Amino acid sequence: MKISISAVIAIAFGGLVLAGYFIDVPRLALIRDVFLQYASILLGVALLVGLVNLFSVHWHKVTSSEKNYAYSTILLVAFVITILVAGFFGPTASWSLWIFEFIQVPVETSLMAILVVVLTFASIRLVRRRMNLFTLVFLGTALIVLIGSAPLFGVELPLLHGPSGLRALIAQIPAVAGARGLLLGVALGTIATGLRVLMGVDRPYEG
Amino acid sequence: MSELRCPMCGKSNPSEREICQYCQARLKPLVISQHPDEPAPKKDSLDFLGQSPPSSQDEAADEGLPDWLASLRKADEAAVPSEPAEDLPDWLEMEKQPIPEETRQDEAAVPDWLTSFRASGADVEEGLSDEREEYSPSISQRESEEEGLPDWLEGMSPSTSAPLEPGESGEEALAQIESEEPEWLDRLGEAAETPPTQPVDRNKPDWQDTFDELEVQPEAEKPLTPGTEQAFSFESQLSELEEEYSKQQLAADTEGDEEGAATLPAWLSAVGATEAEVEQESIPDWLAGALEPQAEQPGVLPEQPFTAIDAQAEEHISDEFVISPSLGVVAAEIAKGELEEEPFQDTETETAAPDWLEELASNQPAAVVLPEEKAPITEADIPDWLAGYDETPALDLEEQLPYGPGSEEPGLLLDWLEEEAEPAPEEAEAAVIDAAVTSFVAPFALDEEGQELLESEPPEWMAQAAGLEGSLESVAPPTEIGDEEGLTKAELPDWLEAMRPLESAALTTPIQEESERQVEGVGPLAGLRSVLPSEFDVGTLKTPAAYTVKLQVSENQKAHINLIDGLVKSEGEAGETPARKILGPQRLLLIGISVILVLALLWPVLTARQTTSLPGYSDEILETSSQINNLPGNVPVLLAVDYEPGMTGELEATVSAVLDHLMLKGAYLTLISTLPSGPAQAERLVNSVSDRGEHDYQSPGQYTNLGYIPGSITGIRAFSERPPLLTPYALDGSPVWEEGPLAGFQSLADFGMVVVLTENPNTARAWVEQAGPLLGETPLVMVVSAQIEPVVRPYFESESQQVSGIVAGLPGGAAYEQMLGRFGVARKYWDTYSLGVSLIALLIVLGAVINVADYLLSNRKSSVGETKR
Repeated sequence: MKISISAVIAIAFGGLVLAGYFIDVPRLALIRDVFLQYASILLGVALLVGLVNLFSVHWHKVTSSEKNYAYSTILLVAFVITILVAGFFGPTASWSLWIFEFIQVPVETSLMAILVVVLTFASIRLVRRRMNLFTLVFLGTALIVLIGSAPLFGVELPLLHGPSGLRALIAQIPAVAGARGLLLGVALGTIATGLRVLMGVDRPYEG
Repeated sequence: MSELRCPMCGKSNPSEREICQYCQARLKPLVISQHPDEPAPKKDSLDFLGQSPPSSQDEAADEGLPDWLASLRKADEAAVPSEPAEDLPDWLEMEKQPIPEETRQDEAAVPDWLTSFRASGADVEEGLSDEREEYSPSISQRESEEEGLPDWLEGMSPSTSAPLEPGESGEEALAQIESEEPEWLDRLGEAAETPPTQPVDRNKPDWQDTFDELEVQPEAEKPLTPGTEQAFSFESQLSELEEEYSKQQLAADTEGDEEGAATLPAWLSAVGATEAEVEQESIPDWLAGALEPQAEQPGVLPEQPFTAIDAQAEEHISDEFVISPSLGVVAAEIAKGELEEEPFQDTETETAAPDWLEELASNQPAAVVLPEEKAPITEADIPDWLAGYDETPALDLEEQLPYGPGSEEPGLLLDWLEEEAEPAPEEAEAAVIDAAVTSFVAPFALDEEGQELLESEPPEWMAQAAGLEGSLESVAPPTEIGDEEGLTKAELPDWLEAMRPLESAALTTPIQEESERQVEGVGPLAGLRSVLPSEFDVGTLKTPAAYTVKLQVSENQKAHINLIDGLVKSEGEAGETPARKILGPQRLLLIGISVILVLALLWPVLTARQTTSLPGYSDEILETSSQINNLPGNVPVLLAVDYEPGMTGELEATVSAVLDHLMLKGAYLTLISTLPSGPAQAERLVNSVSDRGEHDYQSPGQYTNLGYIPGSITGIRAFSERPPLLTPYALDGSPVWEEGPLAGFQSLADFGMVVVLTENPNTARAWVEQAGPLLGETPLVMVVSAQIEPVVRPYFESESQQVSGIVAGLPGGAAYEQMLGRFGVARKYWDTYSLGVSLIALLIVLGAVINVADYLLSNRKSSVGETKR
C-alpha cells in the first residue's frame, strides 16, 4: 500500500491527539490542545475560503449573464452590504441586528412555516399513495403525538395528554429506544471511521 | 476459347473483341476495300496495309486480311512453287506459295517491291536457315501458340474453305493470304524470284533481301491513282513510298540532285520542315535519325541506297528482327498524318521520283546508322503479330526513310541498310534499341508533332480511293482512335478505365525518355539497359513515412460513439416528466390547507384569546428549574446559542422562560455559538427576553458575547479545554478572561451552568460528548426543539445523567412558564399552537379516511368488474 505524505501527516497528528487523550502526560495534553486550536483556526480559514468561493461563483454568473443571474446579483448585493455593515459597526451592533432580525429571521421562519403545509398535504396523500399496514401505523403514531402535544380544540384528553398519557408513553419509550440505537450506531461508526483514517485505509483528504 | 494478342501491349484478349481491354488498341485492323463497288470494309479493322477484296470463296475467312498479303500469297502461289520447308518460317512459306489467279486478277497494281518481297523471301530462305535455327525455338513457340495473330496478319495464312481462325499455323495462314493477293503482289513475287545482285547476308532479315531484289529488278511502277483501292491501303502506301524513295535515292546517288527533294509532296516535305521544330525527345530515334541531316549524325554514310545491304551494314544489323523498317517508318509517318494529298498523286511519270520523296531525300539522310551493339530483345517483347516477321535480325530503326530521291527501284529501297553503320553513340544505340522495342510494341505512338500531322487532312487520293472518311484515322495510335471525325470514341466504363494498365500510359510518353531512363550510366554495367541500378539515387531516398499510432476516428464514428455513450449513460436515469400547468386537485388541496391554517392561526391572534390551558410540567422541566434555582447569585452561565434563525419561533418561545429564570437569578450570561449566525441570534435573544422581562441586561456588565467558535465538534472540544485560548476576547474587544466575572476561568468547569440551545441533534450530542466530560459538577441543561427530544432524553435518563435537564419544544416552554409563574411568549403562542395542531390532525384524519374509502371503493369496483367479465 502506497503511503503519501498527506497520509503520513494525517496519521501522525491523529495519533498524537488520540494519544493525548489516552495517555495522561502533560506535554501530550499540551500538544493535543495546540493541535486542536490549530484545527479550529484552519476551519475558520476554510469558512472564509468558502465565502470567497461563494462570491466568485455568483460573480461569474452575473458577469457571464448565465441563467437566473438576477438572483446572484441580489445575493452579491446583500453580501456586500452585510459585510460592510457588520464590519463597520460590528456583528452585534444595532444595524447588524436589524438586518438579522428583520431580514434573515423572517425569511427563514417563513420557509419553516411552508413546511407545515407541505407536511400536512403529504400526510393526507400518504394513505392514497401507499396503502399498507405500516403506512397506517406511521400515520396513527404521528396523529397521536401531534394531538397529544396540545389540547385538541382546547380539550385535553387524559388518554393522550399528560405525563402518563399515550403521547408521553410513545415519546419516552419507543422513540427513545430508537434514538438510543441511532446514537450507538453513530458512535460505533465514528470509531470505525476514525480508526480507518488513523490507519490510512481511508484518505478523504486526498480527494 | 481462342484469344487475340494485342499488337500494342502484347496481352491476350478474347477473339471476339475488337479493342484491347488493356490498352484500348485495335485488335483487328480496319479493312479498306480496294474496289469501289465492293462494300466498305469494317471501320473497326485496321487496314493500314491495304486489303484486297476477299474472294467469294474465302470471304468470310478473310475479312480482316489485308489485300496486299492476300495478293502476295496468290502471287507466290502462282510464281513460286510451294516447297515444303520444315525450317521455313510461316511468312516465308506463305510467300512461296503461288498466288491464285483470281486473286491476281482482282488486285489492282501491286507494287514491285511487294512482289519482289515475296520472291526474295523464297530465295533467301536457304540462306537464312541458320537464322531460322536461332529463332526456331521462338518460331516453334509461336507456331504452337494458339494465341492468334492480328486479323490483318492472320489473313496472311493460306485461305481455305474454312474461315481463317486465329491460332492456325502460319503456313495455312500464308496460303490463305496468298490466295487473295492482288496482282501487284504477284509482281512482287516475280521480282523476288530474280536473283539478288548482292550476296545474301545471313544476318539480315528476309524482307531486306526482298528490297534488294526489288532494287535489282525494278519493275514497272504501278500507277497510283486515287481511284485504286489499293492506294488507300497502308501497305500500298508503303509500297508507293518505298518505290518512289528508291527511285529518288538512286537518282540522288547518281546526280546528287537536291532538286529531287523539292519534288517531294508537301505533306512529306512538311516532315522535313517540321523536323527542325520537333524536339529530339518527341521523335523516335529511328525516325529522328531519319529526319536529321545526314551530316549531323555520326557514323552515317551519306547517300546510301536502299537497294542492297553491304557486308558492313550486315554486321551492324541486329540479329533480332523487330519490324520491317520501311513498313514501320511509313506506317508511322502515315499514322502521324504526314501523308497529305500530294503523295501518290504524282502519276505523271512512273520513273520520276515524286517531289515529296525528293524533298525527303534531300533533307533526310539516306543512310541509316546501325548500332554496333544492341541489346537482345526477348521473346516476350515481340508481339505475336510480328512473330512471323521475326526471322531477320533487327534493323536500325533510327533512319527508316521510305525512299530516297532518285531511286530507280520501284520497290523497297534498302540502301540505308547496305551501308556499314558506324558505331553509334551509346545514346543513339540505346535510342535505336528502345525504338526497336517500343516501336514494336507501340507502333502508333505519336508525339505532339505527329499528332498534328495526323490531324491534318489526309491526301486526296487516299480519300477518293478508299471512299471512306477518316480512314487514315484508323491508323492512328489506339489512344487517338475516336478523336477524329467520323469515329466516336468508345466510352469505357469506369471500372474498365481503372483497369487501364500503366503500359498504356507509357505508350504516350516519348520513346526517348524511356530509353534514356533504362540505360545504366555508371558502374560496370554502363551502357546496358534494364539493369538494376548500381548506385542509389540519393535524391530518391527519403525518410520513411511516419505512421501515427493514434487511433483514427472519423467524424461519423465519433457521432456514433457519442450516441451509444449517451444511451448507456441514460440507463437508469429517470426521465423528466413534464410539469403540469393546469390547476389540479393537488394544488387546490394545498391552497385549502394553507387557507384553513392561516385563518385558524389568525383568529386567536386577532382576538387575543388565551383560553387554552397550559400543559403540565414533566420531570426534566422540574430538574431544569431546580438546577437554576440552585445557582448562586451572579455566577457565570455559559449559554450556547446553536439554533438556526429559522427555528427562532419555537426555540425562542421555549428558552424565554428559562432565560428569564436565569436573569431573575442574576446569572452572568456568557454567550457563545458554533454557528456563524449564533452571536447575532444570541444577542437578539437576550435583548428580547430582557426587554420582555424588564431585566435590563447590558453588556459587558450582565452578559458578554464571545462570538463564534469555528470547527463544530473540534471547536467545542477546544473551547471546553481552554476557553481563554480559543476566545481570548469578546466581540466588543474586552478581555473578559482577565477581568470581570470570567477572570481566571480556565475551563468550562469554572462556569456555574452550561445551557445549550439547539434544534440539531448532532450539535446537542457534540456538546454532551465533548463538553460533558470536562464539566465536572457543572450542570448541563439542554433547551431543544421538540423534534430532538428523543435524541437528548437518553442522556438525561442515563445513570450517569450527562444532561441535567431538558426543556423541549413549545409545550416544555409553556410548562416552564406555568411553573415559573411568569408568562411570556409561550403563553401567547399556546392557543394558536393548540388550534393549529388540532386542525392539522383533523385534516390528516379526514384525508386519510377519504383516501381509504376511495381505495376500497375502487378495489370493489375492479373486483366487481372482473367478476362480471
